[in-house]
Amino acid sequence: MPRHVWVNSDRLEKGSAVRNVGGMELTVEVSPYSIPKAVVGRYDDRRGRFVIEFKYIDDEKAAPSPRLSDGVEIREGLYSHKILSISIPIDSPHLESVGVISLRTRIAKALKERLRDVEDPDSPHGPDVLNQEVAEEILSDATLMELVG
Amino acid sequence: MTRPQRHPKHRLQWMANLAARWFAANPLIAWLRGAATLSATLTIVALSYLKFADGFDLAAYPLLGWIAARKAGVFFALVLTQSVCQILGWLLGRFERHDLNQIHKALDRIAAKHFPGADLGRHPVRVTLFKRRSLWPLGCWLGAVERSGENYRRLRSIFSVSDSIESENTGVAGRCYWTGRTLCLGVDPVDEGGDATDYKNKTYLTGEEYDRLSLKSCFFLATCIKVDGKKWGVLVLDTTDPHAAPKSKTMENRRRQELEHATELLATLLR
Repeated sequence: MPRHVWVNSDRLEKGSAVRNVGGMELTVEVSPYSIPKAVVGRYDDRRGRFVIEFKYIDDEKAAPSPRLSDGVEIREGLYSHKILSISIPIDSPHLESVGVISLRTRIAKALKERLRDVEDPDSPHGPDVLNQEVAEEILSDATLMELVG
Repeated sequence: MTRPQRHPKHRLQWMANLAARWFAANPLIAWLRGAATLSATLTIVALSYLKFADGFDLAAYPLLGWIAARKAGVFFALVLTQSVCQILGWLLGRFERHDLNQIHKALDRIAAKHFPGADLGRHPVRVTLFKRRSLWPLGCWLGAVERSGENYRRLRSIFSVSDSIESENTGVAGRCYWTGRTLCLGVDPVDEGGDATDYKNKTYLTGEEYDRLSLKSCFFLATCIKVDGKKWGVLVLDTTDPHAAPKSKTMENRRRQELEHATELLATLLR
């Protein structure tokens, strides 16, 4: 049974950065299309994976091949490279609290790996760094507990 | 990133943008579609008429007689008219045709929500919707579709954009298009006739683009508009009030939410 968690973007702290371009301060913020409106958690028993989906105001198509990092699959938007879903291989749909911690650690590791080779955080051709910041903020322990059920 | 000082294709892009706006605004497409429907109907009528015309005495109707004597020519002309109208209608339909009145109302609402306490007498506030337009071999540019308020309605500013070369994205709008995000920028006001080099550098403008500006704004808030994830254009909110930037995190979050609502509102009006 999928579990939804609504996101209140009013409370988000992350998702903006001040860049110094030629001695001038430019504030870059996450696009409104890259702020999740909701997060959905469900267990895909066919593939044996726990899937976390991010819902946005638009319905962007997913890129054909997801990013893989130590078994964790991150599916990105075709054009914006925002995170559409994260799926983690797990053995059982009923996670204990230790399982949630492990889940969180694996997600954090995969997300860190995703940004490892990013040179220009504002490049439209790489991962959406600010979207990831927001996604990480949303996926707190409390949210993950809520999603896992 | 090295910002170009001049833009060799600016004038050509500017003229192409005028043509695009004319196509978007004029009712030629409706006429063409009407003509295509009429010629399709006439073709059906002509088919049945020309099939049985030989059996009738058309001496009293010289026009029908003239048509009956040129069956193939008339039929060909009708089919050709219909095809030409359909093709032209399809080609012109590729230019945007939006409900500009609805968009104008939406932009007015966005302006009122983002700058609720603005002193409009001293500091004009504008919200402009730019669309990405392209024409080979001129490349791509952002041309204004509509603007809030009743002043500054010439909508003649264009900014160069590129999906692959960062330095070819000019103006705050172009820079915003490149990143695909929301940008917030404050710059010092520029005196009329004074040195504008600093202003041009900070707002990523080339000389031609600066010369065409109808308002030298000091505060810019721009967000990339997307349709199904693809970059569609840019929404730019600008004012000459240098103190328009949000002063606290709460205000910033509120403004971010307003921008979310604005993009959702526009999404219902764009294609």
